[in-house]
Amino acid sequence: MADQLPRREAVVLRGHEGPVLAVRFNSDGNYCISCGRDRVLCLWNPQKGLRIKSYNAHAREVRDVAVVADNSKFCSCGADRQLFYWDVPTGRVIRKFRGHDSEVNTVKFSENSTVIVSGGYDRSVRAFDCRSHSIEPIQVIEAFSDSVTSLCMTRTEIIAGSVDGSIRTFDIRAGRYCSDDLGHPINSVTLSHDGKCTLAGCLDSTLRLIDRETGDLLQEYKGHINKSYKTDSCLTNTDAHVVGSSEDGRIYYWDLVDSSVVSSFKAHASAVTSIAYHKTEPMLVTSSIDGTVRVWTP
Amino acid sequence: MGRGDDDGSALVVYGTPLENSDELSARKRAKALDKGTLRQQQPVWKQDARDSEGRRRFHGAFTGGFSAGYFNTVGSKDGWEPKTFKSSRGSRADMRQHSAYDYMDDEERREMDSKQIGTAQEFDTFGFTAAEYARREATQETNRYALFLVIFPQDLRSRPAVIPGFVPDEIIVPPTDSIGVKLLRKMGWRHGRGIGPKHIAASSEVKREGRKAMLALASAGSSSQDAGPSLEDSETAEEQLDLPPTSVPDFVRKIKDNVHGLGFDPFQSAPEFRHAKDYRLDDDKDKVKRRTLRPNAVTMSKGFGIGALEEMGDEDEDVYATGPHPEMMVLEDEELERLEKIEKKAPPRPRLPTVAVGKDALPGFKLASENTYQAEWFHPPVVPPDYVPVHKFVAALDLSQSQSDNAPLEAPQPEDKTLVKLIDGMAILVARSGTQLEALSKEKNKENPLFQFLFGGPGGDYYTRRLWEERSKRGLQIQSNRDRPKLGASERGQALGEMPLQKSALPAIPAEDRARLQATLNNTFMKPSAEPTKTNRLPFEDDPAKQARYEQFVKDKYTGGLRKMNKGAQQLTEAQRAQEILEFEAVAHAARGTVSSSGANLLGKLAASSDRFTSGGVEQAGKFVKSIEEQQSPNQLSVPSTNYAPQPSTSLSYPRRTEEPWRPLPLLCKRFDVLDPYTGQSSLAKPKSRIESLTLATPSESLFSSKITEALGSAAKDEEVQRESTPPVDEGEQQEPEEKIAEKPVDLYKAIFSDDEEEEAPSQPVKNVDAANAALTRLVADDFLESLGKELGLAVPPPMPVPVKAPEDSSKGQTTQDTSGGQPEDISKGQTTEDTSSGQPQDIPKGHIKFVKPSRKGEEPKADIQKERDEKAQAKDAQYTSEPEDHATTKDDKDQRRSRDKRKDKSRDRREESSKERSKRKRRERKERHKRHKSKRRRTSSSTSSSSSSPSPSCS
Repeated sequence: MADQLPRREAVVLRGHEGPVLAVRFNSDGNYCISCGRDRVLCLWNPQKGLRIKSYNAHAREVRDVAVVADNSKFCSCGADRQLFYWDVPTGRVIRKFRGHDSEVNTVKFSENSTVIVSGGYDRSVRAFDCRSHSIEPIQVIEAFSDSVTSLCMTRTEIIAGSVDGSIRTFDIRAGRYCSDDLGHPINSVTLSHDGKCTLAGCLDSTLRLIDRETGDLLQEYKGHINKSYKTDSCLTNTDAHVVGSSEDGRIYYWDLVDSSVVSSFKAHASAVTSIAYHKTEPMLVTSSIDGTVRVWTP
Repeated sequence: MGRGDDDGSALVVYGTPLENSDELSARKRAKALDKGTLRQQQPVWKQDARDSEGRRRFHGAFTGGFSAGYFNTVGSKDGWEPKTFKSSRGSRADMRQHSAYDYMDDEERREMDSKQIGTAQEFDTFGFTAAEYARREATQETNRYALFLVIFPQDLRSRPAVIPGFVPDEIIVPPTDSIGVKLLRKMGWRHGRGIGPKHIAASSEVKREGRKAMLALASAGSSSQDAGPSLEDSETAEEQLDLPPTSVPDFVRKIKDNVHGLGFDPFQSAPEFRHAKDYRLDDDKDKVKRRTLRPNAVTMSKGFGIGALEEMGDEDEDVYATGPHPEMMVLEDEELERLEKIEKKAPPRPRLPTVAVGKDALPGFKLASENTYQAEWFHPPVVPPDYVPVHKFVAALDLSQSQSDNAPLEAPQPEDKTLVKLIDGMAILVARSGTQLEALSKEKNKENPLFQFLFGGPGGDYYTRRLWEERSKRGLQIQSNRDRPKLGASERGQALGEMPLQKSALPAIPAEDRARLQATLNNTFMKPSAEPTKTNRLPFEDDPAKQARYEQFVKDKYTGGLRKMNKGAQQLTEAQRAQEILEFEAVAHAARGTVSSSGANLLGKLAASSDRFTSGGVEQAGKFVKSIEEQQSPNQLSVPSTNYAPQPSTSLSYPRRTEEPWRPLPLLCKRFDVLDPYTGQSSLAKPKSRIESLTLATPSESLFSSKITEALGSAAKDEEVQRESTPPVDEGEQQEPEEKIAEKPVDLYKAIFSDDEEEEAPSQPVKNVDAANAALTRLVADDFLESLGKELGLAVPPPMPVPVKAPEDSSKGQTTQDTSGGQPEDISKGQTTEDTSSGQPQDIPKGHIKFVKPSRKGEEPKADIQKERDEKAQAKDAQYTSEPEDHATTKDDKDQRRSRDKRKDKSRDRREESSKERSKRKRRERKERHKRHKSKRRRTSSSTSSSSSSPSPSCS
């Protein structure tokens, strides 16, 4: 099982001039898109290591990107406080949403790709409607007391992690939200594939697995360094391992259940900023401050 | 030609017969007239201006007609047509340069051209026009020949033809020469020769001049005079033979090896330098064979006029020669020999010291035997022996560090000399490159017995001493600079005095402080018997200065405002100060936690009665200690846990879950394909803000609501009584619309307007009873007055005079009495009283007034005074709370309408009542609905229940 983990460097994607801040797979995992401090978004073929297209419109660093389920569009956000809604083939910006009052940290699409949800430094989560021509948010959630660093979506819920140390789950169907205070600034929030657990990367160099139903802490994963950078964590496609990135450029795999470090390897020369795991195959993409995106396979 | 005059029929005519001179002249005349050349023959008024083509020049104004300008001046019938200017990004309109030519007609153009100066055909020596001219000539010739052929057809063969048949003119071009060439040729010039007098030809002149100069110099006497001409005579013949002037300029022949412009001669006016240069160039190549001519004589003749010595008698001497300079030329060897012979013949003369031509001295100058010029020589600066060619930035010495860095004791050298050496070297190395090296070598040489001094083994003391010495030698600051690890975000934040990212401030506290803090905490918590004096609460007992600072800190903290710099803290570094502040913060937090639980800031008392340790305060304190526990090993913590609430394990304390209602907007729900959980609920169930809860908590509210219920009960009765007493006409007229609207169930409104309400819902705050009521009444009054004014303006005569006012007042008094039984607390009335008082007289029907008047007259003043008082009190409240209720006012329209209708026939108080009744009814309905949504309603606990269950009449 452990030797199935992606540890071999398959391709290095070079092209960004400066730190890469996020990398994301598209919905089928055949392509990935990265963004960085050079204000450019790059669409890659991770299997072949080709840069397909680059998208250039942001005025400042691009911090996150999310792809629509049908892969025809994507949305990016960054320090220029706007959300850019792009058309993939033409590379044109379809719409610029009036985003936040300050830097936008994270962006995600709703499951049916009709709503863009973003979280920013202005302590709010905002939802934008892709279907209308309005650039104003359709909902502003200001329940946070600090910057919102990470988001993830289910069919009817918005889960947001914030530096105030809590994961807030906004259940649209039930019309209520619950807040799980973890006591440490939260850097990343990911859902397990069965949707029952939340994996939260905290700034005390710990990943925490939270039961969504009860809010209990199921497991803690330690060993990596994460104290000041915004990094990502995720679960493997089989949900058997937890993947975490470290500020020393290493990637860690933990066993989900007994939280032992199964494997770790040096992936980048400097801090890893973002990781993304393929939905179906054992394939990992990592991005780093060193300006490269690397593709890892078993 | 004719064969016979008699036989006219046999007359044969050859050629074209000459025309009759008269006819000819007539025709010519007509033609000329047409052309306008015969103008002068006409009187002036009959003449008209025509151009060369014979077209009339002027139209329009002179001849009448609007087609002026069309015929031969402008392109179109409509006159000048403006050009459309088109330019797009794709195809840029090119910049058009307009010239005068664009606006000229042919004639003007021709005229313009004629002004230009050009070469006449005849004198176009080299140009194309010459050839062209010749060709035209040839054509004319041919034409003439053709004519000739027509006249003399039999002579066809007489024309010599190289190519039989038609020959294109373009091929055969007769050779032409310009007149200049022709003239030159006539003067004996041939192609390829230069133009000009022959004697300019370079080399001959050189020779001659050279010779002249020689002679002039050699024979200063009269003997030279006969020698010169003879020499010249002998030469001239051969010169003219072999030296034809050439038309090729000098610079064409020579390879250009400089960077000057073509033909430029830098030495033109200073030939001496050229000579020097040439000599320098030639020097390397061929010194022996080539000798240059002595230049001084020659150069003197150039550009400086003719001196006495140079009188050669040659008139055509080119004094200011611009051509190639003769001194460039070199003499053949034989020539030199000849010259030498001449020189020998001549008497020896003192030679000019021109020997070393070129290199060192200018011609005519002599090298000085001794050099008077003494160049001043500066010695290079002396480099100090300890100079290092690298700049070091010496930072200011950190005083505190150097102070705190107390020197280790002098230690004796170990006996082992190699060890001493090793230690010395190590110390120097470590001092130079930082403690990392030490750590590294420690790690490396763990087992090496030689390096035991690193671990405090033999020689350890000496090593530390040596290290300190080395460090102090090197300068501490540099070392510490290098030693300092790279600052992370948290360090920087700390340096800037920000709170660290970690939730707990404790980890930032260094170990010893933490221990101390722990000790103090133990002190504080362990001794319940201790009296609640200040000494008990000293967290920094062992450090009085620090304690003082801490106290100051606490004082500042509670007074608030800008954090003042402690006087005592001045000797601390920035980092230390920041650290200390954090520490104080933590301690203060702990103290406050315990204090707040008991409600008094007496810790001792609090500790003494441990049963009072309840709720949040204890939890906080427990957490605090526990978080310390997390950081330290458990054995360090000697706090008995009995004093504290049972602590859960570390991991369980944190994820803490709290749930709250949250209202997603309908559009969001729609986009998420989810039913809006709050469908049908107008108001947003938001947690109340502090202001809201405060206003709700005022005692008047409950009192008020109870009074309302009371009042409503009595009001209903009262209303009925009044309705009966009112005239039937009024009722029929005005009661009708009221009932219409009143009968509409609230749910119907809901069904109709629910969408709007949902849209508005987020911005609409929760209704407050007081606020809503106040707003309602105010609005109702305004509206009522407005509508009444309108209606009565139509139906009823202008405002009632004074007498009506008294009854109105009495009616007011009556209502108060009626509804609340003498209690003047009807708040809702407060706002309206002033407003209505002015407009009231208009609306009260006389019959009604009569009815009211007799019964309640006596009580009015008292009630009024009391009401006034209440008004004042309530107006403030109402205004305050009603400020944010903008939406509520719009919502109340329905109520207003209903109550307005009622008001038309009833008095103001009754209108009041009816609205209250309505609100009551609504409340009831609401309650029912709420029961339906019971599950959702439950979530709001006691805090929110007051707002949700309390009647909010404005909400429909």
